[in-house]
Amino acid sequence: MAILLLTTNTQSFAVTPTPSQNPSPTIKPTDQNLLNQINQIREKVVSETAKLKLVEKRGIVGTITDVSSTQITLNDVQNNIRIVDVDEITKFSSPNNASMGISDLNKGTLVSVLGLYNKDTQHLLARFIDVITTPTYLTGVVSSIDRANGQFYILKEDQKQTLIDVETITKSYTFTKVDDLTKSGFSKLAVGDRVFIMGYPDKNTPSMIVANRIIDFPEVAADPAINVAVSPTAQPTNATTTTPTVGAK
Amino acid sequence: MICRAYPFPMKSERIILSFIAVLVGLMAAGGTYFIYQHYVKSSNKSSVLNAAVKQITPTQTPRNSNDYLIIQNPSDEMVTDSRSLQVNGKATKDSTIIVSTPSTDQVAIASADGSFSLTTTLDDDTNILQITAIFPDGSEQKTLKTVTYSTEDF
Repeated sequence: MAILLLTTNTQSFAVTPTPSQNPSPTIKPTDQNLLNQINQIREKVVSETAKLKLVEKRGIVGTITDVSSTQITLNDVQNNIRIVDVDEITKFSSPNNASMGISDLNKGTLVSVLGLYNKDTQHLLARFIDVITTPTYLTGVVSSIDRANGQFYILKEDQKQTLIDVETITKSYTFTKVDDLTKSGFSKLAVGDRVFIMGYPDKNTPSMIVANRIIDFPEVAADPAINVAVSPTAQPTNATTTTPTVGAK
Repeated sequence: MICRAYPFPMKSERIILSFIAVLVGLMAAGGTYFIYQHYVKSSNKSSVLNAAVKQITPTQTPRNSNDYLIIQNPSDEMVTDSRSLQVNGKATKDSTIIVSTPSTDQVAIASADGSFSLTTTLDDDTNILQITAIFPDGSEQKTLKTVTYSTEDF
C-alpha cells in the first residue's frame, strides 16, 4: 500500500505542469548606461519643447520706474508694468554713453528692451537694452498760423493746444483720395485743416514740437471733439506776441 | 403655598416673559428700521456722489458706436528680421488710416468691407508704430504697436 501511494504521488507530480523558470533578466551595465542616456535625451527634448512654447522673442519700450542690479521695472507704452530681468550677457547702449551698464540707468529713462519673454513668469530676460528717444505723433486741427515765424498751433481732441515749429528739415504732404500723398508746403496750410504731425520736442522748449513731417488732410471731416471757434487763439496771431516760448528757442 | 406640577409658568413669571418678548420685538423692529434708514441714506449719498462725479468728469467725445479699428498684423511687441512690414486690419469703411513709423508715413482708405493693408519699412531696432483711423464723421482712434527689427540670434 505504501509503495502504491508513493508511486501515485510520484505520478501526480510528474503530470502537474510546472512553469518553466526563465532566467531572471539581468541588466548589463552597458544597457543601463544606454537607458540613462535615452532618459536624459527624452527629458531634454521635453524641456526644450516646453521652453519653445513658453519663451519667445519680444521687444518692448517703456519708462523705467525702478531699477536694481538684476531687474528693471518699466511702464510700457500701453501703460502696463513690465518686469525685465538682466543678467551678465545683457548688452546696454545709449547714444550718449557707449560703455554704459545697468548702473547708468535711472528712473524716468525711456528704454527699448529686446529679449526672451517667459509666458509663465511674464518676465522679459533682456538681451539688449537701449536708451532711446521716441517721436511724438499728434493729430489735430490747425487753430492759428504764424507764417512769419514758421509756426502754428494745433488744437487736439483733449482741447489742448500744441505749438508746432516748421524747420527746413520738415517735410509737408497733402493727402487726398485722388492724388494720395503728395508733397506740399507750409504755405498751403490753412486754419481749420486736419493735420497729422510727427516730430520731437524742442530741446529748449519741450512743449513745442519740432515737426519732421506734416500731413494735411483737407478732405477729412472736422473732428466733432474739436471746436476751433471756442479756442482763444483760434484766430491767426503773431506767435512772437502770443507765445513767450518762441523767444527761448 | 402649595407647590404642584404645573405646565405653565406662574402669573408673575408670565408677565415678565411677555414683557421681555415685547422688548425683544421692539429691539428687532428698531434695528431693522435703523438698518433700512442707513441703507437709504448711503444709497442717496452715493447717487449724489455719482451725479457730482458725472458733472466734474470731462465729457467724452461723442463717438459713433459703430466706428472701430482692429489691427490684425503686426502683433504688439513682435520681433522680425524683415525690414518690410505689412500692416493690415479692419476699420469703419472709408476711414482714413495713417500708419506712422519714426521714418515714414503711409496713408490709405479702408475699403467697403472695412479692410485695409499697408506696407511700411522698419528702422533698426525698436519701432513704435502709431496707427490712426480717422472715421468718416471726423472722430479718430489711435493704437500703438511696438515692432522690433532685429537679426540678432539669441
